[in-house]
Amino acid sequence: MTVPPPRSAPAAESGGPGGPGARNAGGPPPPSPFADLGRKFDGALLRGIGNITRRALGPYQTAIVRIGFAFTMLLYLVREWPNRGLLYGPDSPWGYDLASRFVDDTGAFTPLLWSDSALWFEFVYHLAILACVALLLGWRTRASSTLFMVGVLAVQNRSVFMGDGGDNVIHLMAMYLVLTRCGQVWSLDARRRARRAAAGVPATHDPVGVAIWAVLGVALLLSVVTGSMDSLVWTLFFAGMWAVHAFWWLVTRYAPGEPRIVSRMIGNLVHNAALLVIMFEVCVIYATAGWYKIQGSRWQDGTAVFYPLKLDYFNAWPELSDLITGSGLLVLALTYGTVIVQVAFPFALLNRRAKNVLLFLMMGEHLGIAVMLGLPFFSLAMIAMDAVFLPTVFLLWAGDRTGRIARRVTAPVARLVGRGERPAPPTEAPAPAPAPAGAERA
Amino acid sequence: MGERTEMMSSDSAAGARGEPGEERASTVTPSDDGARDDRARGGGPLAGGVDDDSLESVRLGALSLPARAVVAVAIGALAVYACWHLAMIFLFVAPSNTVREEHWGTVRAYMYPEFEQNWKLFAPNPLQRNTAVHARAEIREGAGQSPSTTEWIDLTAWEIDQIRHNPLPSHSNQNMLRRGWDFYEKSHNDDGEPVGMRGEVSASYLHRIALERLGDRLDLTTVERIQLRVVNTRVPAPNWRSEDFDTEPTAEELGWWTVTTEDLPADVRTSGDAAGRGAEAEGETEDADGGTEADGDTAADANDDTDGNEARP
Repeated sequence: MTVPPPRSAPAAESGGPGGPGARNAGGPPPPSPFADLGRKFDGALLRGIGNITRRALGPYQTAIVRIGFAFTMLLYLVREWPNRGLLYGPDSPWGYDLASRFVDDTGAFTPLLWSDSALWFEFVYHLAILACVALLLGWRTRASSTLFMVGVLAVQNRSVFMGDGGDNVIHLMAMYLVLTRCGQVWSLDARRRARRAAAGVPATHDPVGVAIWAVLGVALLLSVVTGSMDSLVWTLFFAGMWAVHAFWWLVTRYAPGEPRIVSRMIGNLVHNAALLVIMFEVCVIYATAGWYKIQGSRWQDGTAVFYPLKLDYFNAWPELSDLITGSGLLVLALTYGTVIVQVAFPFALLNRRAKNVLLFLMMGEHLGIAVMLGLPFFSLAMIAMDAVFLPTVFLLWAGDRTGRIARRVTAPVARLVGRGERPAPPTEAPAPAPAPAGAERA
Repeated sequence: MGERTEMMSSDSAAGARGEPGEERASTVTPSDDGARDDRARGGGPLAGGVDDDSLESVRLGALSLPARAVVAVAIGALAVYACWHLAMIFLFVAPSNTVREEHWGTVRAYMYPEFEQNWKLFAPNPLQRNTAVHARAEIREGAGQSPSTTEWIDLTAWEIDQIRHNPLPSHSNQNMLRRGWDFYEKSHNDDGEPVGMRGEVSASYLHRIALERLGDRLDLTTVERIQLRVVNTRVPAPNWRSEDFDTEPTAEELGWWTVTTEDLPADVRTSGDAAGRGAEAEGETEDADGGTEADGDTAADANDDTDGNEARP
């Protein structure tokens, strides 16, 4: 308890009394590579601790991941809107009776099985769509990311056999995103924060935030009291999230000194841990996909890519598939290339340039899969996931470009509508869409 | 104590000033990039607002002892939990090994149901056969008439039609029947008998999918029983290979399935015509005892299913 950063203790001792100078005193013999190690280690450790406590790292990366998954899920829910009843609702062959029986056994969390009423289903499905929109725009990111997770889990766990690998990625990332501060940039939240800061409004003067908090609290209370939410872990999680937000508000308002600093540090730590888990998850996905492929005879003899392209279910564009499957050399190159890229990816993270090249190849391959295998949502999810490794310079450039284009597109419209006359910054204020633009100025 | 404090503060100051050690780059790329960018812009964009600026200038060493203790405990707890989580993920996706076998119970309990994942994408070998589900129905037009049996109808072909040349195919066409059959196959033993609860629900599920899809072609209120068969056809080897597979389709028939009210799509179920079906079907189930083994099984399925539901909380 008395030694604040516990991990620094042993290091400090090793670099202690003997001192680096003593070891190097010899002169002529080449300096030991181990000299100074203790001190360097201490330094690195402290720098590291400084980094993970003072900052929520990767603001642009977490933002693009947030936008990517929200967009994928939104597109998916809208695309499946005509089939929603068949997939997740009252018309599903995976009927309420079967699904309940199954989920009673697995213990998965899905509000869609709290009631078999068609109205409840419509409510949850459309709430999920709204959560996607809110998360995409970064509106009240903490609340919307939680609702997004609830929506994703609701539909996916309701009909677990409707999903594929893409759904699996969305499922995991939806949970991890809740713990990240993914609305730091490119979000309505960031724009609002900046405007309020400029106007000098205190952060705790936030009636909308308090209202959302109260509504979600009532919803949570109702779901627990009615016995719908019967999982202890999930109840504790949601109640914990809810309590933390009350605590946050109180601390911001009444304890501006050290308690606030410590709270924010812990928030950053949670964000950084979740970011680490997200990055690890991406590596696990590629490593698993790659290493298991190496063991397959078809991946060894260089024909593996041929077969999915010939399977009825994945042969979405036979004319295109034939262009690839006609050439043994091309199939071999794609087969080996896929395995190499997937196996190499985690190691490529050790080198920035290699990482970026592989990332580019990977996203390209997923675009190909989106079309060739008819798996657009799977591919979008994978690309959204890859985006966590995009370099900040690229993201800044892309964000700037997107912002410019959005402003150019929306400016005439805004002028037409007559909203161009706002007193705030002349060009970007009227644009409704460019959360990116606003956020970047922040 | 004083020593450590000093080191911490001087170092944190260095961190804030920003010698990131450029060569260190990529293991934590986003973080690094983010941090660098952050410094370049004087801590602004990261914060996106008022409060976070102040943290940049906070020296850990300058915090009070309790504050540092809290931060230290948080770091420790999060580090332990993150490592635990990553270890569980690793063990879950890893092949069977010493540690995994010994602690599978723990891994399983932690990972199911929400962290379940499977990344053997087209691995170790991609699927090399097309699986099509066909269905035929036994129809009785009127009360006194003898039943007639329809031709086999290829349900999968219809799904494929919907997928082909569609830039945004629906999961209902891609996954419902395909994974429905996978689920059925995995939860039935080699003799075609259902294994546990999963076997039972998978049988209901698969037959309900078939009925849903047959609804476009048949008047479901006249359907008394349906039968499914699955036809596997091996994908021929590429013509630039010397391999030669047997690409003859092989068919496997499931037993006849007596249709109950629960099995019908919601719109048919509520249309009134099917109102009497539940009782009727159950009566027939008992008559049908003398049928094939599979027949008896599936019928038992249907009954268990309803019972099971009522029994459950």
